Amino acid sequence: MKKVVIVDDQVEVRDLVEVTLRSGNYQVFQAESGEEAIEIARAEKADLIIMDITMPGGMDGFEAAHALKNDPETKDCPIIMLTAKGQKADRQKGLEAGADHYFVKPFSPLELIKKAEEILG
Amino acid sequence: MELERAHNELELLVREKTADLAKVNEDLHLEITERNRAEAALRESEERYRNLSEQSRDAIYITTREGKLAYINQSFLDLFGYTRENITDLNSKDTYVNPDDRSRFKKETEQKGSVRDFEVRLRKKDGSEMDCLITATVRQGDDGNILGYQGIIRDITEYKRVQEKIKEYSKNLERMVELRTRRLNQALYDAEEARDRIHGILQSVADGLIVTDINNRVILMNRAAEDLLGVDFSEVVDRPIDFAIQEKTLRDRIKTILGKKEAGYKFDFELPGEDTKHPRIMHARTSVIQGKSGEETCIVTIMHDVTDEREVDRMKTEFISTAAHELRTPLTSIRGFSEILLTRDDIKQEEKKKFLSYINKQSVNLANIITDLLDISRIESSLGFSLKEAPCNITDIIRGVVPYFQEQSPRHIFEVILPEESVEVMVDKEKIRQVLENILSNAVKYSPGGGPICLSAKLIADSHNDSDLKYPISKIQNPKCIEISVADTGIGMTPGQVKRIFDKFYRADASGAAVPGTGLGMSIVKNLVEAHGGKVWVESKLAKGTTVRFTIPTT
Repeated sequence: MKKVVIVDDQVEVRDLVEVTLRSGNYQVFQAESGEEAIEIARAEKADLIIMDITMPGGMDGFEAAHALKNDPETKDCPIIMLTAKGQKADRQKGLEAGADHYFVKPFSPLELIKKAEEILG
Repeated sequence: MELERAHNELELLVREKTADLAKVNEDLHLEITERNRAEAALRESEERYRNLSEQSRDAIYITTREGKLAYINQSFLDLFGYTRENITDLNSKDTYVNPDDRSRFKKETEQKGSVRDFEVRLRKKDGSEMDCLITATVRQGDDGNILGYQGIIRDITEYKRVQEKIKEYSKNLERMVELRTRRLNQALYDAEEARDRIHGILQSVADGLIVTDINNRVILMNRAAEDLLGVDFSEVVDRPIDFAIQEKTLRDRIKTILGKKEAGYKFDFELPGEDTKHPRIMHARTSVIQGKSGEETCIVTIMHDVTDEREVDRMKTEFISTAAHELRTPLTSIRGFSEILLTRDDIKQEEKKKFLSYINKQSVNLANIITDLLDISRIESSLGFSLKEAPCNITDIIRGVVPYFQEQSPRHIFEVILPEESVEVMVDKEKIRQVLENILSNAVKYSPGGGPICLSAKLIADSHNDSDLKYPISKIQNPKCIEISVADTGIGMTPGQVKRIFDKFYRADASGAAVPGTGLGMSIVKNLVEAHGGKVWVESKLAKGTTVRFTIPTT
């Protein structure tokens, strides 16, 4: 079972991603903040991280992605940004921070699961 | 003998007498010769004077005291238009146009012995009149009696005419000069007035204005430009621009416009603002002014402070992206869960219910965002909003909003302190609920660590007095307002952020962007509270928390 971390401050989005991936035989971990996501990713040796950008608290998605990609333990874990920030500059910034894919909310769960399968094989 | 003696005596007598006679004769002869010679000399002298007189171009005359002409020269005849033959009967007094002039002439001449340039008007034979000057002396006999007058008459008619003409010309000239002077004065006055008016306009224009000449010297600067650049015009007038203007971009642009094909430049430059972090942004336009023959005469530079416009532009752009973000967030749940519910068969009944409640909640959020947007657009377009005011109990409204927030945000502890009795107000219930929701949602958003949020209400005397005059209900006989406050223990704000809290699109942490929101909430709160006759204010301390208070008049 592939391990997927979903990090978003909104419970609805976390639940949505979890129920979306449940059918594909993934184990989904929920995180409310960037810090929590990093912690889980390291502890569980996550295979995929799906991450929001705008999150209250210390660390936003850009910073969390950057931290993950600079940590030898997590640097190979692919990251999908899942954000309501739809501007080109945001996408650019996200990819530069280390995201491998960029999804803009509102998103289609079917497309997300397709993308996850594509990444995790 | 006797006879002989007698004869001899006689002969002697005759000889004596003859000798006497001869002597007398000789004397006589001498005298005649002398007289002849004198007469000849006199004649010659007379002739000489006559010739002289005849040749004179001035009219010369000699009259008796009664005016009978004793002598006149040819010029006299010519002047008066007579001949020697037909002048005989002329009396000089007949030539006077004004008889009084003659009496005056006689009197003056006789008193002084002579007159010089005595001006009279005389009449010619043909009746025409002329202005003359008489210079004359009296003629006196040996006994001192006045025999008459002699003098010279000069016709000054032409002279006077010319003189008159000159006078007229000079008068005309004077009049023309006066007229021209008056016109010039008027033109000068007009020009000065126009200049003053233009000066006044230039001075009162809020935009900075600098005029420089082709040698890059400052020739004009209005007050706004002085203020913006911190320069005293009187100190830089006619000085090189390098001396007058410190701002490099502005200076270089003005200097490089000359000789270019473009008529002007548009450019932005920065001026120091209140602090180094916030420079003022100036938009400037230079244009070259050309003379009639197309030569460059001066450069006009207009500067406009666009700091606020740019800030509004920036906030609007940010608002649009924030609004898009805000709309996408609820749509994510609506679209995502509806797609799950439509495409998946493995969803249990209780999960279905949960997902539907997410959809429902987020569609409410979506509707609220749209309400905010519409409200602000109504406020913007100054249409205002119509309040549906009705009597109601404000404590009920306050109690009504809390459960929703408590449910949404379990990490926060909502504390509610309300007067025990009901408080009647005349308000639009929906709008007051919106005010409370906006304030509460900020309290939640800006205290991400959770903690207490205190919602309280108390009756006070007057909403518009200073806070030290606000007394609790117990001390007040006739309370007029209810003051409602929402206090959090969140991240708080700097004084600068507090100052801008009610600005449209303003978001306290725009840079961080971690806190969602359109930046409209507090602006709407202010408008709604004020529409109800209340007042809203904010107290905040960084890292301590924020308290928002507003008042609503009670009935």
